[in-house]
Amino acid sequence: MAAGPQPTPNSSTSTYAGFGVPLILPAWVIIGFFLVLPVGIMMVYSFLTKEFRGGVIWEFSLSAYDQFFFYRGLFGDEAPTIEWTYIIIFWRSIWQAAVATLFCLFIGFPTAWFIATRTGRNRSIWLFLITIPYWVNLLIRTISMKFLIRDNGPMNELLINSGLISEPIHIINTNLAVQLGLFYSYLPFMVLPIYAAVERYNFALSEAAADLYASRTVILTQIILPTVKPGIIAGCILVFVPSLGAFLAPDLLGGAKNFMIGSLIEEQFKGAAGNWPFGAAASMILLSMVLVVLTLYARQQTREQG
Amino acid sequence: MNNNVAVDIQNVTKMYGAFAALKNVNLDIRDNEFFTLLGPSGCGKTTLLRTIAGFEDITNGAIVLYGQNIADLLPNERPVNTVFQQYALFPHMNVTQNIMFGLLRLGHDKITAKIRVGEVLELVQLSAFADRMPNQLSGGQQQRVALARAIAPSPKVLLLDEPLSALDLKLRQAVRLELQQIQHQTGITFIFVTHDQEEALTMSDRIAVIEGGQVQQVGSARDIYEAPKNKFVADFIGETNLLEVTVTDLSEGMGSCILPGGAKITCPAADGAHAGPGHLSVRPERIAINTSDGGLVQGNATRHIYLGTDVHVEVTLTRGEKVTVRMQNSAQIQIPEVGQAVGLEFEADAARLLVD
Repeated sequence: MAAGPQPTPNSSTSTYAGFGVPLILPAWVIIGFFLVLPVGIMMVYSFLTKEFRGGVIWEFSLSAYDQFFFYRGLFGDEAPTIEWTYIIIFWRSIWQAAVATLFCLFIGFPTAWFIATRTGRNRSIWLFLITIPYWVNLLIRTISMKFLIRDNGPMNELLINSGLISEPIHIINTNLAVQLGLFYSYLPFMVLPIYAAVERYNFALSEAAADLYASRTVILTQIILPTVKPGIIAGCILVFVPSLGAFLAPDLLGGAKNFMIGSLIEEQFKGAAGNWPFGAAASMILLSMVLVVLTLYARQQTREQG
Repeated sequence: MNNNVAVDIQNVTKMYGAFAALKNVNLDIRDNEFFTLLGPSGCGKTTLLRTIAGFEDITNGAIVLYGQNIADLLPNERPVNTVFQQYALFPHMNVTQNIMFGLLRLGHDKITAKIRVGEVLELVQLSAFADRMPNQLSGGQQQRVALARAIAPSPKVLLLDEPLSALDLKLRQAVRLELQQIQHQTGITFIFVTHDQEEALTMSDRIAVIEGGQVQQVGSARDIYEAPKNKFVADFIGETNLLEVTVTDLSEGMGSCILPGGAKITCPAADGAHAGPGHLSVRPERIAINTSDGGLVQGNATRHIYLGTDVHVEVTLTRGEKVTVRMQNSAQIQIPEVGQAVGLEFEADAARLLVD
C-alpha cells in the first residue's frame, strides 16, 4: 500500500535510447536525395525558359508563372488580362479534393469508430479488411471502377434488372465519378488516423459528460469530436493533399472535361507538347498551396498545446 | 445527519450473462451520510455504484432516490454526480470549463455558472487554477477539480469511485480529511467506494462490506471492526485470528464453545451463529501471552515479525493452527523466545463467535 519511490518511465532513456543523430541519418539522406533535391530542381526549372521538344534552356525567365496567371494574346503582344483557364483547373481540383475528403470523413468516421470500439481480435480483423483493397495497384482499382460504373456496366445493369431504375445512371466522366474515385482511393487514410484517435479515447469522458447531464448529441459534439479532432484533421490532410494532385482518378473517370491539376502537370512532362518550366511552375504553385494548409494546421496545433 | 433515506437499493441484481455481479442487494443510504462500499476488487462495489449512476442497467430490483425509482433513467437524467477513479477531466477544457459543463447542461446562464464555479473552486482551494488545463495540474489538483466538477451542480447524492487510489500515501491522508470536511460543509450524501479498509474506517459514518456481489454487513466502523458478523468481515477488516471451535449452546447474543485444547469460554456471538463446528474471532492485540503456565490455549512461539512499535508473535497451537499475537515493543514487556512454550489468554468480550 505504501507508495515507494516509483521509477520514472524515462529514467534510463539516455543510457539505452541509442545515438541520436546516426539513427535519423539514413532518413535524412533519403529525404534529401529523393525529396529536397527533386523539389529544388523543380523550383529551378520553373524559372527557366522552355525548350520546344521538352527540356529546358538554361536562361532565367518568369514566363512560366506569367503564362499561368496572365493572358497576353495569341502573339504575346496584348495588354495582360487574367488567365482563368488554369485558375479554374486549380479551383476545380480543390473542390473535387474537398468533396472527396468530406465523403471520406462521413464514411470513415463511423467506420473508424466501429472498429475502434470492437474488442481484441475482432478489431484486428476489421482493420485487416479495410486494408485488403490496397493490396491491388491503384491503377487497376481505378480502371475496374471505371468498368463498374460506366453506363452499361454491372452497377447500372444490376439496378435496371432489379427494376429500381429504367435508364442507366450516368456517372462516368462526371465530377461525381472523380470524387468517388478519389474517395475510394484514399478512404483508409481517413479511417486509420481517426481509428488511432478513437482507440485512445477514454470512454470515461463520455460517462463523465452523461453524468453531468449531457445528451448523446452534446457528448458527441462537445466531448468526443474535440478530443479526437487531431485524428480527424490528420485524416482530412492525408486525403485532401494527395487528392489535390491526383491524376489517375480524374484521367480515367473524369474524362477531358474534368481536368485536374495532376493531369495538367502530367501533360507538361509528357511527349512533345510538354512545357517543362510551366509544369514545374504549376507544381510549385500546388506545393505552396499545400504548404499553406499544413502551416495553418501546424500553427493551430501548437496554439492548442501551448 | 438524520434518518431520512436518500438512496434505497431494493433487491438489486445485476447479471453479466450467467455471472451475477450483484445478488439481491438491499441497502438504505441515509440523507447526509458518508456511506462507504468496502470490499476486495471484483466484489461488485463499483458495479453497485455504477448502477446508481446509471452507467450499468440492473437486471432486477429498484433504486429509489428520495422516493423516486431512478433505475430506468439515463445517467443524464439522474440527479447524482460522480467523481471518477481516474478523474475523467475533459482534456480540451480548462478547469473553469470543466466545472461549468454540468451547470450549463442544467440550463444555468454563464454568469450564475461562473459564480458557482468560483464557489466550488474556493471549497476545494483551487481558485488560483481556474484557467489551467487539466494536463497542467498535479494528480492531487486534478482530483480536486473532479470533485469540484461533481459538486458544482449541487447533486443530492455524490458518488465517489475510489477517488483516492491514484494519489500517493501522504496526499491520500490529507485528502481524506478534506473530503470529510467538504461532505460536512455541503451536506451532500456521499457514497464512497474503496477497497482500502483504513480509508473506510476513518472516513465513513457507515460502511457496507461487500463480497461476492452480496452485502456481508452494514454498520459503523466500530460495529464492523468490533462486532464482525461472519468470517469474511472479521478477516477483511483488520487482522484477526480465526480459531476452529465447537459451539455448544447459544442464547441472547452469547455463545459457549470449546476451544482447541479443550478449554471452554462463553463470549458474544454474532446473529445467526449456530451450534456445532464454528469459528471464533480474536484480534491479535486482544491476546496476552502467558509464559509461565496455563492460559486458554497452549502452543509454541514460532516466529517474530518486527513492525517497529509492535512485534507480531506467531504461535503454533498444539493442533497446528497458527495464532498471531500483537505485543507492544517496549522494555517492560517480555517477548517470548522462538520455540518457547506459551499459553494464550484473552477476555471473553475480546472474542466473538461468527456466522460461518
